[in-house]
Amino acid sequence: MGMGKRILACLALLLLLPLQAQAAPAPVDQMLGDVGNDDGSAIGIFWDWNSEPTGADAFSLEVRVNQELVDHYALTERQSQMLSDAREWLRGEIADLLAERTAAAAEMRTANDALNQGIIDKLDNATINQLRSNYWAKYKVHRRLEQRITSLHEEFASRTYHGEDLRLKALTWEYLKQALAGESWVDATGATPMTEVGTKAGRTDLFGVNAGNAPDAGRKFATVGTISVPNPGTPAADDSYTGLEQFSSIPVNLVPDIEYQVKMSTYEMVPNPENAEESLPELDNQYTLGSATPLSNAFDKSKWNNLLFALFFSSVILTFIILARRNPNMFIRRIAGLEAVDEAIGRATEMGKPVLYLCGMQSLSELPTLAAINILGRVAGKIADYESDLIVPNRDPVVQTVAQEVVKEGYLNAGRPDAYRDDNIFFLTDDQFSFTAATCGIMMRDKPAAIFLMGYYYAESLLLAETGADTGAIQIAGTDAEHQLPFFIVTCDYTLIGEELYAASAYLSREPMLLGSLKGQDVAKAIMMLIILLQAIFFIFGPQADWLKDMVTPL
Amino acid sequence: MIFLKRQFPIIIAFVAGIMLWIRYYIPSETSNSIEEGYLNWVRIIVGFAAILGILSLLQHHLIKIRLKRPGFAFSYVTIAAFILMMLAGLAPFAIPGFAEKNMESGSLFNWLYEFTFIPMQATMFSVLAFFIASAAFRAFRARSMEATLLLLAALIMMVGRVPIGDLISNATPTFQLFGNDYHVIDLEEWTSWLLNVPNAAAKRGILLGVYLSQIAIAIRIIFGIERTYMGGGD
Repeated sequence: MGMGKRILACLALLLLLPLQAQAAPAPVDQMLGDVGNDDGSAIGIFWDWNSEPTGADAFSLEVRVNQELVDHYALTERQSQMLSDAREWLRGEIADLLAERTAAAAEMRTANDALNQGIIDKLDNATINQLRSNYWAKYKVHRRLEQRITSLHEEFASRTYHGEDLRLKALTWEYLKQALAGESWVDATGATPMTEVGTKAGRTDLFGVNAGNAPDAGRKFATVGTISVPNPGTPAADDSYTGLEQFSSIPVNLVPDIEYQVKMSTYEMVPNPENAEESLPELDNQYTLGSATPLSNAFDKSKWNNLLFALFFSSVILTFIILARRNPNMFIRRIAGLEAVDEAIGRATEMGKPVLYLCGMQSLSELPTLAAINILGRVAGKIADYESDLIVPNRDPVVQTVAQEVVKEGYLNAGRPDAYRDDNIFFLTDDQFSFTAATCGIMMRDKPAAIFLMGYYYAESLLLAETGADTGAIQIAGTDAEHQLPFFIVTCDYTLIGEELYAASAYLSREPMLLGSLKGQDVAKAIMMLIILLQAIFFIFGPQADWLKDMVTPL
Repeated sequence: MIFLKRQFPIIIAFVAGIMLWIRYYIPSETSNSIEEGYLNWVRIIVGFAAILGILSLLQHHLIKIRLKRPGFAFSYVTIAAFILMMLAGLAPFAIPGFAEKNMESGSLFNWLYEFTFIPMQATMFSVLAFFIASAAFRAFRARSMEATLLLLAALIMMVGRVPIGDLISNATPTFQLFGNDYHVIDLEEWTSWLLNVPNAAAKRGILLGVYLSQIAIAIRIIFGIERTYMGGGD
């Protein structure tokens, strides 16, 4: 090599050295382990950068698809048959509609363009109106076709849902199978700026990182729980002939107990030549980090505080229930709304008018409805005593059936089974405003002397309570819907606020065991108030005590 | 029979309650499928109960017509509407002038739903605006200290949440406090304070009591202490 060439080579090396120094930082001392969070199991990765990253450096994590993961998404023979039958059915039903929709969409666009052009050209009103009505006619045809296609898709969805979405499962299998046949590595995080990656200390939602005894403080940390598998573009992955939604990629959760290999790619963000404001990742290097197996957890450790609180509060309440059996004379503060129950029913008897009772707008599986049913049982007994009529319209047939039983029992216990009328506890409709309209109609026609609005209510609360107030009835409401409370307070004579709704059954029955649970509840509330007070004091006067916050979050 | 009516439901409530409570802490697929199975049972029961509901509705209105109770004419309307909608949805033949199949878009069923049911629903909802005005009139009469405070808070909220509130605030002079500029009247700040401080505090207080009560009532039901909801008379 001549002297000139040597000098040129040295110069080239000198030029390349700064470039080498600018290369994206690489991960070192990486360590992988299983991790759990609210979404399930995942892989947790610790690492350090070998040099300080700049704002232009980015990285992504990729997971290698393996046969076990593909097999997990395989359909059974029966499921495949179901899906194939449903696809055939949809294909037969929808083919003409899709073609018609395409033609109708083109006609609608043409009509819309003609209308817009007419407006721009300032054509006379008659012509514009004609163009507008032409556009509306085309729009309606298109909309009707859209609706028919949507209803066919809904029918297909119901035919292919058997505990899980079979179409999605089949597509996931196809996408994964093709990913396995190809390069196998699937992106999990997308290009993320290196400067944005945090440490495990900032991730309070995680638990159980089994990455040996590596000190995690200050080390970079990321989790991989879901991979984004791209559409392979094979005929099996294409549903365009059915008009169903096409996916460019499908997010797939990592299945526990399978070992996955993890890779990291580093990038340099370079300006997008087509858009100066954007930057694009340019691959710099790739590093295999290792492999790990996410575990399926037998216990969700993120809920340990919830379990402790539940056990503690349950034991407090149960203790007070036991204490109440020994000392039945427990003091419970006076609740005006419940003291007025007798007055309201007595008034109905005097006036010879019925009592109307509503159990709220929710189903029986909701606690406010159960509380309302419990109160109904107590109220029904009193009404039977006073020999008044009780009307209970219902929005839910299950609630109606239970309400019938409860009222019947109340009348029976009061020694008046003959006064019970089955058809007074009836189902109206499950539609919110139809129910409201029908109930308001009953209020206006029957003019009940007392109205009980117990349970959970939505926007109809004021419609019901105002109509009731117009009839001149005594109204007692009880709800834990905090947004509806103001309406009830304004329009009703008495309102049971929040917890009073749940206390009402115990209050009316005066059963020691039920009263005991109220006492236990009060003690639990006092403890919660103490925690809030301590947290407030720590926050104001000293360093924030995060352990207190962590103890009650997420509960 | 007593066992089936009394003890058996309590056993079911106890087992289901404890099982689903434990399930909440177990994130495995088996535990999810147990919950899914439970929810399927709920759906099946609700499906059957719907038949009971329809029978109850018809029975109620037929009795009302037979006994000629007040407003029995409306029962004719209810039964006619019920039969019409049922026929529109289930008729085994095409209804002329509408889509070929029932329950499809463009069918008589769909037409009735879209052009009678939805407008009536919207009407009921829109009546709410007038009811709010009427309730507000009743609530905001300054008869006591509390009602006066309520009236003041409502005035600040109402004016502060509309554009004129901003205009009023900006028109008032400013003063300095701890190095910050404040308007003498700053309705936006006041409304935010009302919502975020006293309102949020009261709401959280109520919710805290509600959640604890829900735990208590759940325990009472799971352990069979609260049994009123079971009814059980013959």
